[in-house]
Amino acid sequence: MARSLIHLCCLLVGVFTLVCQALAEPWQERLYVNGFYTVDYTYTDEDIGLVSNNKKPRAYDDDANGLENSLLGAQLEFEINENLSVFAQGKVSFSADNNASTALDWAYASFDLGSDSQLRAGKFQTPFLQGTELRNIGYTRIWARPLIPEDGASGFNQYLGIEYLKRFTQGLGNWQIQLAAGIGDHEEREVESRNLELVALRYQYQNFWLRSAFLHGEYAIEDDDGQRITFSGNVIMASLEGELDLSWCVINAGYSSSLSDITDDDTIYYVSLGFPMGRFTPFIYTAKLNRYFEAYDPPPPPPTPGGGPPPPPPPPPVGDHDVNSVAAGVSWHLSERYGVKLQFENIVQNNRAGADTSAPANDGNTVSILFEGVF
Amino acid sequence: MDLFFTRCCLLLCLGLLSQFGQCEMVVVVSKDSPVDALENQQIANIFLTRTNRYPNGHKATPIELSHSQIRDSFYEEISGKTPTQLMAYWTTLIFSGKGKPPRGFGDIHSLITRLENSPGSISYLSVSQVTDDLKIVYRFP
Repeated sequence: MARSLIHLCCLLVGVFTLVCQALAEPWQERLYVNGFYTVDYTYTDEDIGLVSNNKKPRAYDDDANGLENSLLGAQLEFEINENLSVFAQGKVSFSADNNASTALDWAYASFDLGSDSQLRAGKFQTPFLQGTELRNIGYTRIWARPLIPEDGASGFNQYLGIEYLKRFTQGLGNWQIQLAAGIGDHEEREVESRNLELVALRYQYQNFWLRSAFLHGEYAIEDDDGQRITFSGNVIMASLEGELDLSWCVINAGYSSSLSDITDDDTIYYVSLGFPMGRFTPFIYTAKLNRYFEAYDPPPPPPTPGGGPPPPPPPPPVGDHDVNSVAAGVSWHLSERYGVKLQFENIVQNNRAGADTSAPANDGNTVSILFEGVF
Repeated sequence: MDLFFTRCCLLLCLGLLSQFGQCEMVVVVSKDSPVDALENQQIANIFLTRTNRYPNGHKATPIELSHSQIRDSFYEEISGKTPTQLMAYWTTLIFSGKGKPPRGFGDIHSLITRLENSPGSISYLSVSQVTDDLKIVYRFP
């Protein structure tokens, strides 16, 4: 946290210095302001955990409803000169007890190297699946909730580092390459992230795009008692995602897999069909998340002060935890910039591993109505 | 009856001609720009921010009127996207920091002044709005 603040302060001081130099020209023409919002009303018929827009898992009580998936965010981009710009994006989200929390999701400086290539440095969201980068911006998807769980990239959803972006066109096709290296920021406090390297490729051909990403992360991890389990755990992840717009039907599909030491191995896949009919887009989707907890030998417990035998540690979870979701709904664009969604979803969970989940792992049905937009 | 029919035909032709005149779009750059002609796909790549370079390597800066009657037609021509689809496209780029739509100008005079004075700028106009200091690099069929 302290390191993040230092990085951010350095970034802001640098930005301020450069802004002062740049004020010779009208700054209004160099400033871009964008925003996004979601107002979500959801009802569930069971105690259930749902994926949220703001990365924090949210638990619903049966026959309860709430607005806790709602959020408001803004983005500022300032072009210091023709080649250098700075970018920051954050949000305010609201919890069930009406508490608001803020987060800075993106903060970086970008330098145009020419020839459609860019170098960026700062804080980024992991471009693993599109839903990990654009989780907060509900307006970018037709579904009510992200299809990627809160720890979508095995918890490595953001990082501090540098990125190199390169775009090139080939006939009617367009390629985008993203290379990144840095220090991951893991969702779980027990996981102390170390190095992270990432390669992402995106290909677009008219109304079709395909994107793939490969990630390697290294981390240290402690158990609940603060005992170091490993200083050098590794995670390797791969994802493939695409969209085909046939005009009468838009097909989205995605797959990702992660193999990691100590922490669970995750597999995610989803398929969705949307049927655009003017301003209305009825849709269906199915998504599956599998977490596999592999057996490992926990470190020996610390000696007790009295010298007696220490209590045996609880056995770590072993086996599968599946979450299957099937949903249908309709997205209604009231204008270019805002719209309403209605979604019915059935969730079936199977926690054979007995994993300790932060939200109830029950089966259940939900109804969600959302008002979303960008400005 | 014949006179009535002839008048109807004339009105119809005038209406069609006037409609055609309104919709005739061209893509323009400054007279001083090193770019002389572009293809439809190159224009699409520039305006959809898939590239920020002209084919000759010079930097391209697409600009447009914020509220224009021909805006929807232009993007329909180059990308086949409806305004709603286009907004969805921009939203994914904007909020992942991978691109942004062309800068919008509030009035045609500011847009043309910028085009005339900035050799890298490129925009689309109705053919009747093109001035002597601008160069047409593409005409929509």
